[in-house]
Amino acid sequence: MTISGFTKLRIVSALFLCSPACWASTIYQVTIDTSSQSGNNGGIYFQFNGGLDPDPASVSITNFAIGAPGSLSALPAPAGNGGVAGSLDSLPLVIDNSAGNNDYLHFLTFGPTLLFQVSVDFTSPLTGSSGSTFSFGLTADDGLTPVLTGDPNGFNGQISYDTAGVFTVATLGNDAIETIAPVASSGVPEP
Amino acid sequence: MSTRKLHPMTCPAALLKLTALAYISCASCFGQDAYGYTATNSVPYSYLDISGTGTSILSNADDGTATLSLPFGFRFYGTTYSSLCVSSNGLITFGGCPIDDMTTRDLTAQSTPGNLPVLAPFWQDLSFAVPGAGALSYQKLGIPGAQQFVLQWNNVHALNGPDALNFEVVLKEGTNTILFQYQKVDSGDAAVNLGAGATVGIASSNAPSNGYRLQWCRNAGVLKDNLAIQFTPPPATAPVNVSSSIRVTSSAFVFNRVTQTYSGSVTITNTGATPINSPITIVLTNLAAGVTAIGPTGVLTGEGPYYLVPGTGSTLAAGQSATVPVQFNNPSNARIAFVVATYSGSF
Repeated sequence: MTISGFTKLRIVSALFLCSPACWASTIYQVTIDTSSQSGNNGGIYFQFNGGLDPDPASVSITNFAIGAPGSLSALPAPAGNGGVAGSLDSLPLVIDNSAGNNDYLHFLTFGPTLLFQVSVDFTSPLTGSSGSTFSFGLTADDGLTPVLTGDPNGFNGQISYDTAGVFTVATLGNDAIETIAPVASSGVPEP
Repeated sequence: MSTRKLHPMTCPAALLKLTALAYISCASCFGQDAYGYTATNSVPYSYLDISGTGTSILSNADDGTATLSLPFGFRFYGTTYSSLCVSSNGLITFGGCPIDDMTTRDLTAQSTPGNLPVLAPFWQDLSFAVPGAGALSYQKLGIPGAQQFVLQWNNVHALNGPDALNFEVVLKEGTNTILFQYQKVDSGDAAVNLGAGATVGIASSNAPSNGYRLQWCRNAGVLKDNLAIQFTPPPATAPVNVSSSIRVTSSAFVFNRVTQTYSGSVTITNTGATPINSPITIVLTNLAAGVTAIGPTGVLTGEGPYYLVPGTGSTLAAGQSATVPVQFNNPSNARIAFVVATYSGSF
């Protein structure tokens, strides 16, 4: 399923099925055609931030894969801020929205493709004054300069949900090379 | 004093409807616009000649602009400004200088250059780069509390126009009224004479959609020598805290690593049963330590940064929402927290 940059996919998660309190998860598959960068050194950057008084939430990144000859780089070492646990070397990488900025940068060598799944998890029912936004971006080998995007914030895609649990998905870079597709949505008892 | 007649070629039907009632009761008045500004030429003409006493700028300039600090805060369409940009082309803008103001626009149907709020006393392709042309003069007059800031185009020429024009804008402290005065607008050139090729009026950002504009005339020779036109804002109403009728939500605050800033938006929703009158202002109180707002409309001492809520027209209807973009510096990357107070009325 391909989603154009300005076409926003709205999915009402299953959180309303949870009563009185549970943990709602929505999983997306992200696929990026990085063939134009294959062999180049660069980085991938993740960010998961809330707004005003958000409900506790996190994203878990799994099934991260770079097509050969690409690979994750050991150096420079990955860097994170805020609520970050795990790494792309030791999945899952979990980022929560506990701080003002929660982010993670990992250097790599691009291959023809870059794939990962992201599970967005939050408690239900939502009671906060904002949702949260997961953003991801590709960078050059300085870890900062955006690659394959013209987004003013330097991101290639975003997955957001609002106070009603309604998701909005947007590709922000080259729409032809990116897809963000829903995989599953479920409400499960809070762990 | 004169009575200006609406020219059917220059005034769209919607504007005619808007102004019809005002014309019935006040032959030389115009408006009010959607914000509440009115205009009239039933005011005394009293040209404040500062050509010999004011500071001269833009001499020899064609399509020149200059940014000037205002000697007092001047409120225009709900925003208080501390500076303005003046152009040789008979135009004043707030919030920046236009990249291209050589071509005039219809304030009722087109956005202003750069979508900036404008004062257009005689907006046309004018020039000081003509032999014998003068300059733009500015000067503060009066005492604190009742000051006037005068901007005067002295001997400015229309492109290839044979005769010079003299006109001025007077901004008044406290009342925030705007006075256009025309000493000499008969240029001897049919394309310029009496405003035949000029746009005259005021407008805010997004004027075509929000109706915050009063266009006195466009490409119509209805000005004359020794004419004054005054634009008056609506009476200020004491702000009323309406926070109890407002639900506040926000987007996520996304961090830009290049600019090291956070950006997002705050949305207010009228949860009450009755409309909330504009202007509507939100104040971010109790802003988290170390977090500062970038580019608010202003700052309320002891309270916090405030923002004029855009696009709400005359009211925020029951159930209606409005969104304000916000941006923050937050060097410690702390959770961005604040309490929103919402007010109806002018500060």
